[in-house]
Amino acid sequence: MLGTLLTYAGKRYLWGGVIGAVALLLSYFYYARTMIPSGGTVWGLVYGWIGLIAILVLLFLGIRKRWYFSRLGTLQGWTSAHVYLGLLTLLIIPLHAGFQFGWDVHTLAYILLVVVVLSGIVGLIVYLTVPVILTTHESGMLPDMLEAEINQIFKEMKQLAADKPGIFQHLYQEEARRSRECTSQGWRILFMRVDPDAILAQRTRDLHNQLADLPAPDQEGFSKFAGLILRKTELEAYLVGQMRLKNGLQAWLYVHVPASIAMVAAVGIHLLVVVYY
Amino acid sequence: MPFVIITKEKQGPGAEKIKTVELSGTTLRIGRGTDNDLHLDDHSVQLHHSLIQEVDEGYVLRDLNILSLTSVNDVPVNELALPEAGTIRIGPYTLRFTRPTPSSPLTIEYEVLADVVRVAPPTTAALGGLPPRPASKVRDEEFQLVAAYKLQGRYFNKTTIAVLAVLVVFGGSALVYALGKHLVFMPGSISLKHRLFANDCARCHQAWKPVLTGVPDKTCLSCHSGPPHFSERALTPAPQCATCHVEHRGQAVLAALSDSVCLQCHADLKVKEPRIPITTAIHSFMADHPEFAISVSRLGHAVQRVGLDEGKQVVDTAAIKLNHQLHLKPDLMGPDGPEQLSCASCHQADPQGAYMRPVNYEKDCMRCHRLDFDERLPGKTVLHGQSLEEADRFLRATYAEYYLLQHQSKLKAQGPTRRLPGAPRAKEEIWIDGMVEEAERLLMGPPGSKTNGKCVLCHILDRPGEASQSAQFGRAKSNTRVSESRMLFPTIVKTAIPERWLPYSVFDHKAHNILKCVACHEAAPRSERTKDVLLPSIASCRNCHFEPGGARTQCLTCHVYHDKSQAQKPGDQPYTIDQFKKGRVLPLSVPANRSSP
Repeated sequence: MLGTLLTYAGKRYLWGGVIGAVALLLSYFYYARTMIPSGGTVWGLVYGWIGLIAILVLLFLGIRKRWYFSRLGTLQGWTSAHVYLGLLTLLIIPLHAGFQFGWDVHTLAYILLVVVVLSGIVGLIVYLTVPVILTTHESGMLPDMLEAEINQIFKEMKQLAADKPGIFQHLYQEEARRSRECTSQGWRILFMRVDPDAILAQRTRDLHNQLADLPAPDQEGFSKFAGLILRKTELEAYLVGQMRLKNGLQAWLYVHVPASIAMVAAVGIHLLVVVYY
Repeated sequence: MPFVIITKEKQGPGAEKIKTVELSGTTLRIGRGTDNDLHLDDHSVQLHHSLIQEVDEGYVLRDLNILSLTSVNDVPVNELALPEAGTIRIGPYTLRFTRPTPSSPLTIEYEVLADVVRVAPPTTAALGGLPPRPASKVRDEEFQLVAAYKLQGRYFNKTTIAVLAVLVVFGGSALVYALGKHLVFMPGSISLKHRLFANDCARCHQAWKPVLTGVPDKTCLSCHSGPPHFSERALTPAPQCATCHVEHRGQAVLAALSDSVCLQCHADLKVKEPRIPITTAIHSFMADHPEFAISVSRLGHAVQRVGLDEGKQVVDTAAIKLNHQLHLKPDLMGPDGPEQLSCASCHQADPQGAYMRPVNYEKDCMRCHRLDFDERLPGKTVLHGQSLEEADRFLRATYAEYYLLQHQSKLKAQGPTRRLPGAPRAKEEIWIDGMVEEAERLLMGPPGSKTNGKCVLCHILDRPGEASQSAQFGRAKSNTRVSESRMLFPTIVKTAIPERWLPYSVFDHKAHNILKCVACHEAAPRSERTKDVLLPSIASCRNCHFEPGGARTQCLTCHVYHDKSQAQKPGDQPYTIDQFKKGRVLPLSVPANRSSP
């Protein structure tokens, strides 16, 4: 990933971005010496148009990546350009505004742009690191398989618990309730790291204690039952680990995409205001 | 022949197809991949899931996964020597294995699962020897764990967040507009003095104009007077008000401008053919600001701009005689004895302390240079500022009054007399003429004199009739009427002392009063002639005003843009408070002559 996205086509877009930034800065130094920089001057408007076109090109990635039959460059090339052009907009817009910011809707548009770019940088870092880890994890078992396996264990637990003392039923119902009530945990597992080994060890201790309290005839069946519970716990921890990585790949988009749309809305208001007045 | 695989496949109700395969290798590979010896087609089975190897007349099962996904007799195992009989569970498959004797092959029997049946019924062994229960009619509960651990929720996803964010942006903007907080839509905070109209955009702006059209000058001029900046000399039109005074940039005072504003033109100034040379390329006070220049006006010559570094060309042409060195001499004789004068003895600042007010005779000179003319008339002085003709009348009246007082009893006894036409002048008239002549000689000096005389000590007299005698002598020897001899009086040449040497700049003496006067006007104590120009040079200023680290060097520290001497009030002013606040101010109603330069 690192070798392809950032250095695509011989670092074509990297150099393009660097040259563009240098050219913009040089032109700005000349411009600032000849007049007071602001968005309303000829130079300021030129920077504004460049910024607007850059934003439209950046937004086009969303269309291009769903446009499977497009021959308009490769998706990898578009993504590489997206990265460098996105970084360049952080410079273009201040040049457009003459580095004037305030508590207004115009600055809001820029703040949203900064949020979009920063979240994009986070996304880039995630895409450069997480897939490698995820591939290692998924070589074991995919989430769907783990879910099927856990459901299978539940069925076996249910069958095993039938006609057994209350502790079996209780433990089954407890496990079932826990899994049933487990909903919308995507964000929680993303930010709350849990130690699967510690959970497993704690669970083992609990079950061992409960085993000791049982009469001898039930102990053999309980050992088997406890094995299933521990197995389920282990598989679920593995599933959580995988889902955390998968969610990490997606989470930044929950900022990047809505902030992009909001930024377009703010840019729309900015354009309306400057054209009206 | 260590392995025998028996596969059972249901062909319909009651029908079953049984297939037996004997394998000769020592390893049995189990997995979803078709390259396995035992191919188990289910997505929960790994491509290469596990294998069974014949080892020392026994069989060992190895799970190939990171997690042990293979169970033997319902116990997850990584590696296990298989017992004589039991079940191996891999995903939904249950493999029953038997090996009656150590020499017999390992027989594995399993059922091929249809797509709809993925869960095999538990074996007897798995149930701890209990008989299998009849299948429950209640469908088993499926736990959606993958969905539970996904980010995307029903109501919390990228689309809903995006919609919410757009609503916040649009809704928030509409709300602040409705609340009249128009500042939010401005590209920067408004200046202090315009803040009163901050929510009234139309006061200055026209709606739906071309983007590059700024606020026109006539809008600014409806309230402000903005006299042009040497527009008669500029080759190009003077910049619009809004070019320099840029609003909505967070600037509290629009008049406080940076050098870059001036450099827009002065870095490469385009001027018409200049009558007076002007420096056309200035970038900063430190880099290339020219030496200060003064206007020198010589008789018969056009006004010239002369830099202070141009030596003999730098001349003060004021028609006054002043010797600074003499005035600053120690123990100078004053009216009350010897005294030491200082600069402040004559030069006083104006009430604001910025500039030196013009030297004034009554305040600064009269104490020493009194215009008295006769010791017999103590306290009587000629009034400074009178013409010499007026002074002559004053002297004549003064001496007549003196004569009357001196000869009061004699004249009363004599009674009223009137000189007949053609009769010789009376002796009292002759006496008065003589006294006036002496007094005028004391004041103006003898004819042709340039120094003897109280007036000519400082002033230059223009004596038009000097060749044919001046007034005081001429009248004494003839009967010519005063009105006829009016033109014969000499006149005092207008002094033309410059009040401001550098009228295109501003200066504040008060801000510099920590310094001695001679720190900047260093030539003053040595100056003997009026023509010496005692202004400090730019080098003197640069002692303190420099960059970086010195006192300010901005253009506006010393210069002003608008020629305030030409300031005019806009036509619509003055307003009532109501008109001012609510806006009778109609930008387009400004008279045409106030339009932009």
